[in-house]
Amino acid sequence: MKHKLKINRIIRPELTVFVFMILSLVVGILLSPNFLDIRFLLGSTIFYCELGLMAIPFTLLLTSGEIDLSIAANMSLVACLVAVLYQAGMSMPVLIVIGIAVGTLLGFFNGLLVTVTKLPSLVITIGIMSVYQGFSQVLVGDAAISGFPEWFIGLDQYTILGLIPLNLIILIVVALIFSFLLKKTVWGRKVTAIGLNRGTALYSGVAVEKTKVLLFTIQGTFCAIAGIMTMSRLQMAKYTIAGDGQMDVITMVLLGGTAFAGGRGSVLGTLAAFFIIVFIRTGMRLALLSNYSQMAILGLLLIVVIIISNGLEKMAKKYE
Amino acid sequence: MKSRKLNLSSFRELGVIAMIVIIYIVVCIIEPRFFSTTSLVNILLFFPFLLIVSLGEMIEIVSRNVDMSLGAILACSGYAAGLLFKTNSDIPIAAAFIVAIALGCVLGLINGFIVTRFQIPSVIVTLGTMNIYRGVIFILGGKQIDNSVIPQSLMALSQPKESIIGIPYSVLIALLAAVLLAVFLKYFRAGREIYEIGCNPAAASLRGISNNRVQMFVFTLAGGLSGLAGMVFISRIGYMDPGAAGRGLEFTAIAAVVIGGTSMNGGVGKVTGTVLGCLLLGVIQNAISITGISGYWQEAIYGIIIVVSVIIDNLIKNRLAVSEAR
Repeated sequence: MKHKLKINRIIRPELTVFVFMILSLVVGILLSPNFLDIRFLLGSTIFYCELGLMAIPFTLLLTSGEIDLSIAANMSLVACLVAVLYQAGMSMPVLIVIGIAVGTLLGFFNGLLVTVTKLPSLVITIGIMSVYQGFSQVLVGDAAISGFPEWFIGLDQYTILGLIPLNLIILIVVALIFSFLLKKTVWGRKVTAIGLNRGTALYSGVAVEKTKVLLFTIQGTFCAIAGIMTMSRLQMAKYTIAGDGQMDVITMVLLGGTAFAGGRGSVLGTLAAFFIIVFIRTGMRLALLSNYSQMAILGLLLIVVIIISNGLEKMAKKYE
Repeated sequence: MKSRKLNLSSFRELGVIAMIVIIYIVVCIIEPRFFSTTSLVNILLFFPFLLIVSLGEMIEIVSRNVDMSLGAILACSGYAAGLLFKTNSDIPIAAAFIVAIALGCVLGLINGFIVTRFQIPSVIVTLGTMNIYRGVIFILGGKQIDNSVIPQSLMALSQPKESIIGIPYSVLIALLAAVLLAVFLKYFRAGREIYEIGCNPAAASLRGISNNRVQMFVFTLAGGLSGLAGMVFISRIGYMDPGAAGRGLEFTAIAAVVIGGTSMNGGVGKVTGTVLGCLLLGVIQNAISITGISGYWQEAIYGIIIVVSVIIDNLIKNRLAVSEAR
């Protein structure tokens, strides 16, 4: 009995993703000696930290059974707004606060729209995505706005001990906090309960709607933070600043073992998936593979990882 | 009882028709140029490939699936047809159509196989295959198929002047596909089975309908439709940029399908609704360009109208459900 319990404990959906993380690192080292250079490896994470930062609250959102496709659009709208207001002569520290407030409000608005209309969030946020993306085009047009103050740009250049980028530290700390929230607090268990069975959660006294609005709001806040961090890294803002970021974020979260239908989520899994994507993308970039071939391989990886983790789950159930 | 049901369904589409008419009239008042056959043809020209893809998306949503890879399938099969023209310039168009549709079917079948064999949600599978299919194009070469390669007779399909009745043939192809699909869904056993597994998969399988077989069929059909859309796309746009072709088209298609009254919970949805949904998006698109609103506003307005019409549609549905219950 004890033996079986142990196996259950080891065989978990997240296991696959950790194995793949190590595998991708090993393959990377075999492909290129650069992978042994820890400074290079950690440095290559900075290009994806903002996406990772959005993926953390996204994990909770998806766990509760909702999805927000407008995250990348929200991110670029905040960036464009801050840039335009800065050009109009407002001071940057104030604008950072305003930007985060606006992103939070946009997220709150998404949450309200989804809970009040009771429409599937997949559909609502497709429309919202166009709206936010459209407004950022209205704000800046085709221009790329730059010329931000010296202290604002280059957040990604700061490192701890000259080794670990500050952005990565922020990401890891946020991931740990959210992992604790999801796994160890009553609130986090409620989020999971909503995703498992909304009706049951409602009858057990969970404030379903309120929790969902809160999750969307938190998502909005992190979109804004990601937007401002990206501005700082790229030293400019334009409406395509976030690209198709929502796709990368969804891939990251699903790869990390969070169930698309909700009810099962792992923030640490998402963090591991973040590293997989960084390692693989960096490795493929070193191997001079085009962006599209990189995406094809990531797509294949997504399907393979989910097939394996589903298989593992079945195996774990058999042991019970 | 039967007549009330009939009322209900026709009223559901009235909402979309009303939106189309209102927007059309308002824009005609603002800009009289909109009231012309040219702009009507432009509206119709907007939608052939969107409509064909939306039809595929609709049957997927009816069977409780969502397909994110349809845009990539469109690009992949369109690109294959383009390569065909490039290697042999006097290949008949019909052959290219067959190749594109067949390739679409195969790609759709792969989706269906993974979804049913491994029981993974279709969104995840198609999110993965979307990237894979688009990547395959780039492994095949990935250079843009230029205007010069594409035969004139194919481009003529999208020219109003080349058509006997003034409506471009590509529009007629799309409408024909819609009619055939509507007949198939309504009068054929295999068509009804799609609704049945969407309404209640457990009950359907108790009645001896194989969920997996029907789902495989749905994915294959949707893939084939996207392959057809790939050909219509080339004929309309005149070139094939494998990175951009059909990118994000899934989202527009989902919006059109949902505006047309198809339920994301499966089991409910009509071809007429989807046609009207596409038509509404076409009217909006053309209204924006003809009223001289800055192109930068286009996407924002587009999104707002999608959100608003989805919400209005939902309100009507709820109101009807309440009156039905009484």
